[in-house]
Amino acid sequence: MSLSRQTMIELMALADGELDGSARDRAERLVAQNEEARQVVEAIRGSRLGPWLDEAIAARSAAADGIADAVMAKLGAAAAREDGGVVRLAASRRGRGASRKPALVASGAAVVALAAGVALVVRVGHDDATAPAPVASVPAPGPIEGPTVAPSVVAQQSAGPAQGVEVDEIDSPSRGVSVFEIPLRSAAAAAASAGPSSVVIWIDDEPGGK
Amino acid sequence: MKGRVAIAALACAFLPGLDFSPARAAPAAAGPSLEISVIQATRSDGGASIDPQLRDLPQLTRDQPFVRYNVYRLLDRRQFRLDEGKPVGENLANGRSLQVVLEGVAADAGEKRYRVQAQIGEPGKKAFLRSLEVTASANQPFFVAGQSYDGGTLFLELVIR
Repeated sequence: MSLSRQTMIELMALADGELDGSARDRAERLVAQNEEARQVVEAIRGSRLGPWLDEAIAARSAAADGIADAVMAKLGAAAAREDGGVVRLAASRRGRGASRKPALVASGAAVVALAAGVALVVRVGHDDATAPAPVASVPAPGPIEGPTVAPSVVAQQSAGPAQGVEVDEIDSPSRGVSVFEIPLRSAAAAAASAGPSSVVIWIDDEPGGK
Repeated sequence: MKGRVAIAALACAFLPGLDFSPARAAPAAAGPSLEISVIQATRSDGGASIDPQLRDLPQLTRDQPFVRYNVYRLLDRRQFRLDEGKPVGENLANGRSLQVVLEGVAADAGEKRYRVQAQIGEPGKKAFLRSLEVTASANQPFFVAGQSYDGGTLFLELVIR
């Protein structure tokens, strides 16, 4: 190589676009007149690095695609197992007599959110803001009624023994529904252990009532 | 009296197949029965008062939503024989009707569990309660509340005996 170290630095700067003014003119003249200088600039600008870079980028892209494909494949398999993403109630929900509390607890909120389109909210009592809230409640629709979307609720109670009262379904169109769980034992006994419980299903009447 | 008979007849006309006759003197061993208590709750500044016939309900002074009120009066209490698939009903003081049907009986850990479905409606009007499905053991009450009546609220207590 006949080019000096200083010239090589200038050629590298030219290839990177970092030269301007007289230094750039001088380097360009050298490239135009000197074959070795031209090859150096071309090499630096990518005529020789390009293929290597292309191969490297392609390899990395392929690896990324592979990861994405793997993820999508796993998601697809999971979706297929869940029957197209549709959340289904456990078959036991329609069973007669068997304790369906686990299925209700697992699916109740999903059904409320997905099927009925109503929010499962906790609402404090009307008169006493510090009073215990109902186990579940569904606010009544607003004054503008939608296309007959009835607040069909699958409510659930907190975990407890099977001998408690289980609310399997409440369907009260256009009305707010709250479910209060109440212990059947004395308050002290109920606090000490999870005894049988009952429920009060509260359904809002029309304003003004009868 | 005539008015009461007329209301019962009218309700039967709108809800065919319903049994509004209380108790019917069914033998206790014949099967489960449903006891329906219609309770009126009001809030009074004149002091608390609970019908002596409701003394077996300590929840009235202890738990929400009962503690919103301090006066409880038993309006009606009836017992119906409960046969699977056969609806029974109660005419409520506010003009609506409560209909209950036993959908099935099963044993859970050696205990009978009764699955019942209830409706509350009024002829010609949108149902107050289109459907309520509850599973309960014998002697475990559950309540349906919220209907306005005479300045207060109705609590319906349902117990399978």
